[in-house]
Amino acid sequence: MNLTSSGTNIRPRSGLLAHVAAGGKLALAIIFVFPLAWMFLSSLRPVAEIFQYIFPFSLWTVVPLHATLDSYRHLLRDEPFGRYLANSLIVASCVAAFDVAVSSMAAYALARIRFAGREALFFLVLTVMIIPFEALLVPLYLIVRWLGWVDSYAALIVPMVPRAFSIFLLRQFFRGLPRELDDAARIDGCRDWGIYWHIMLPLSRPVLLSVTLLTFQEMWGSFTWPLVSTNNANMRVVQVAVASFGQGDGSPRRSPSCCS
Amino acid sequence: MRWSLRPETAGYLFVLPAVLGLLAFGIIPLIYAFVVSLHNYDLVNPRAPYVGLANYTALATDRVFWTALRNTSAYALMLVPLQTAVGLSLALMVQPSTRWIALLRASYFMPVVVSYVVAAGLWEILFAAPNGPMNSLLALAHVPPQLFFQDRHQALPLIALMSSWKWSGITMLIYLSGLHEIPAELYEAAGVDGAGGLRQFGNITWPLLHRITLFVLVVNTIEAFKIFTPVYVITRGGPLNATMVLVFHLFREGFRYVHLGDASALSFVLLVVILTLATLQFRVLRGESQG
Amino acid sequence: MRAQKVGRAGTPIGRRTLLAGAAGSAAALASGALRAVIRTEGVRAAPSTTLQFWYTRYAVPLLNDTLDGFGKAFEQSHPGVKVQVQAFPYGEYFQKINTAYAGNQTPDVFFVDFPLIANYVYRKMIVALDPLVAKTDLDDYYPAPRGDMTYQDKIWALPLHQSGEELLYNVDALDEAKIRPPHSLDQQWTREQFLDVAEKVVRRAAGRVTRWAYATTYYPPGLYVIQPWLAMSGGEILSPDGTRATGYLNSPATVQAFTFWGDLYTKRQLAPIQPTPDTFGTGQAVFTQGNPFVLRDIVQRFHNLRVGVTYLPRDRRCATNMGAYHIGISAQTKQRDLAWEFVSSVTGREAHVQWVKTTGYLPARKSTYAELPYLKQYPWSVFWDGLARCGVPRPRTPAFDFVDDAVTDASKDIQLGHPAKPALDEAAGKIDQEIARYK
Repeated sequence: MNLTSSGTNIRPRSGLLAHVAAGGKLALAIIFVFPLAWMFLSSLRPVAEIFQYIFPFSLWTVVPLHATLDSYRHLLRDEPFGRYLANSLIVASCVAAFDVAVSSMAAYALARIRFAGREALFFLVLTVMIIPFEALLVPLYLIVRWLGWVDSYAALIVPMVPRAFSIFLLRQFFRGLPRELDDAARIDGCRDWGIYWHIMLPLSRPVLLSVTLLTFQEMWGSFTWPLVSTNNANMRVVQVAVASFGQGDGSPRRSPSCCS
Repeated sequence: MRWSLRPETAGYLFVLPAVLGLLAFGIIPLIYAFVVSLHNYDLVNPRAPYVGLANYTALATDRVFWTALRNTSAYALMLVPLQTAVGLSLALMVQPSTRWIALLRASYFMPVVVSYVVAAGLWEILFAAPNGPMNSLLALAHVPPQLFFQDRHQALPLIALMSSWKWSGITMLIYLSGLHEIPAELYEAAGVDGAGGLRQFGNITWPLLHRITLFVLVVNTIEAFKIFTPVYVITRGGPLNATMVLVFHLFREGFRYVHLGDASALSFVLLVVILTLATLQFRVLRGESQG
Repeated sequence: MRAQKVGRAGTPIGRRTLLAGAAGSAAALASGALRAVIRTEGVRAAPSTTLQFWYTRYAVPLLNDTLDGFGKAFEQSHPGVKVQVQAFPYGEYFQKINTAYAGNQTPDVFFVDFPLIANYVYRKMIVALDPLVAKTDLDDYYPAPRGDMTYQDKIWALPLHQSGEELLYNVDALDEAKIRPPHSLDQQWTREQFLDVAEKVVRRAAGRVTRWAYATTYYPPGLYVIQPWLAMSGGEILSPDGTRATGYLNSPATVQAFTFWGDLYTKRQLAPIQPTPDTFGTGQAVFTQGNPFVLRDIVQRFHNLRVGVTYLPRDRRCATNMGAYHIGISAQTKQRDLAWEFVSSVTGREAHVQWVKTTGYLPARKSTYAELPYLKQYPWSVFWDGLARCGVPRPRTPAFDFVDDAVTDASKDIQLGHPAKPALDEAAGKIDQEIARYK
């Protein structure tokens, strides 16, 4: 998590203020973590107990009465979960790696090189970012099918690169880096590639890491596209597998349109 | 062999891989969707009749569409300032990096990592009415049971709260990357001049974060207008259409009722709305500082 | 500006065009090569025929295993045939099928939820089975499943079972209140009797309900769950030919019945608007509505709970919902005969017995009922009587999903205490507009 290590220590504080601030930060952290902690603790309960002690509020609303690892055991026993995890890992890593490479190059050009159509290209990036994925789902599927990629890693990885978000984010950062650096490099005989490689990338390490991380997490959480573009269980990713756990007949979680 | 390119050519080469990807998997599907929006297309008939702009004009009389547009805008107005402010505050709070701070940072970021569907399902249960965990907690303080997602006034703000809980970590991360780029010397110089924390923020941090703030606002606005998952999981547009938002409407039309033409038209209206907003944001914020 | 100067020095004219051309052809080559590579890899070394079968994944692994097992058994009886059985999440199954259909890639054989038959037929996604099913085999199905599988006088899919919901109750809670629910149809509770019982078993403390009388198993309750409550008082959803909602969904009888059902929530505080999962299983509600499969699932998961089954209450008539998963053949299949062999083996007598025993559902075949004597005993007898004598089929229209959503949305308003009439007027109007699109 240690993505930035900035030295911008803004304000030296008086004792009381510092304590109040620390308390506030901690309280916020609890708010952010509590729902997830509750979920995690619920996962340690036997199935019958999960929703048993919700009302009225007591210690057992939060803490499992009979802690057990049954849920995890079921998960691992009933499903080739390792395979799903591996698929998710492969897809998310590949997309993250390809995306950061492709996006940073494009972002560099968009931020630093003047060429005809640059604004139009940026507009295109924004457009792709805006259009809801649901609108593209069917045509995207048709393209991937035409390429013969259904049920392959290619289907899960290639169409996801680049992410318009990454290009946009990196462009904003590259624009913020002082121009003098480029000029100095050019005087030293660097060309665009050299500037990109030796100056932009090293200076943007934190943001490149952020982009990689965000793409990874986005892909790790992606659901609709993997569901639609793969049929074979060998290609299944974790989110699709997990989605079917809470559903189906006899499950109280979702109301099917039919429940027969 | 060393050979140099015209900068233009270098520019094109740099963007080439990205452009190929964007074209093949973004723009071409987009054009396809546009063609669909001009037809009465229902996944049955490959020779769907061409209807011109009928799908667009139909939207004008679609009450659900207007409700969705209003709700989505209201949602964006709640979410964007909230998430941006929370994200920035978090970033400033976890600035000096110590071990404890790293832990805090990880806590704030944690909801980002959980899948959206799972997070939404979690909130649905936490805020179940009238006997869910949150109501159960409030009962300790003798607060009467709240309807939360079932209440037509609470549902949308609650979804905004949920989204900002989920995504503020990203805003924080982006701001952190921005803060990292501010040279420490600037603060040192200011420190010598005796500028206090607030003034340092006003004079150094905020102006230098301008570009990032522009980015954050644009992205958060786009994401706010694309709100879908929590509505899909928790409220399905209800109660009384109080959480009916554009993308959920689009999804329902397109995939549940298989009115692909209407859904595509809807997505282009959405595209125009957001592009206009984004352009406005660029104009306004660029006007303030030299972008 | 400076960048341009540096660049221009060494660039011969034409390089740009050259490079652009090269890049273009490289891209074309790459995509071609990629296609070739992936394609050859993608071809599943297929010495034999492959049959695709998709179903919606059950939350209970045993059922998924059983369906997978049907695939294995078929492979054994048909050497050289490989059956690829794939399970998908229920909530997104329809979307998955739709997209596959757009890409001409629907599986040869797939689960067809009964109310969607009309839609699939309208959209020509499944083929009629009439020329394939033997008359003698058809005669083995009970009249209700015969009705379900038939649409516009043709047979489109065969059922895996029969199913309907009745009222499940917490035995201990009712014992405590000295209430004995009827186990035979002639003593079935009326709506008002049910209401009395509900008022007796609900528990309140400090103005809050601590134990509910009734909670639906499915949330939000859709058309499937609500329909019997309407039908028992003469309420309807669509006209008998399935083309109009106005005059039916907002008829006085439907409004009155919907009001009764909605009043259980906000007005009478007998049922939670948004039950947490397992409200019934954890003893926080005394009644729920469930089919035999749900009953079995609850019994298996909650060992300390004693569950009984009684009929859903009656008003002017008795009513229970019905419907089942069916299996149909895709219109896009290239091996219709093999697909039919698979369908007839999965829905055949032998498999039917196995499936019914595994799931707890009721059989759609007469021969199976004869073979499984336990079905004549309580609790199955309750479900069986209910289905046979009170079953109400869901409306048949290609716009079923729309109708379901409209009814569910209206029901949410009514549950929250809003008057039923305007909500149902609006829903009926919307539905009529939607159905008009299918003409």
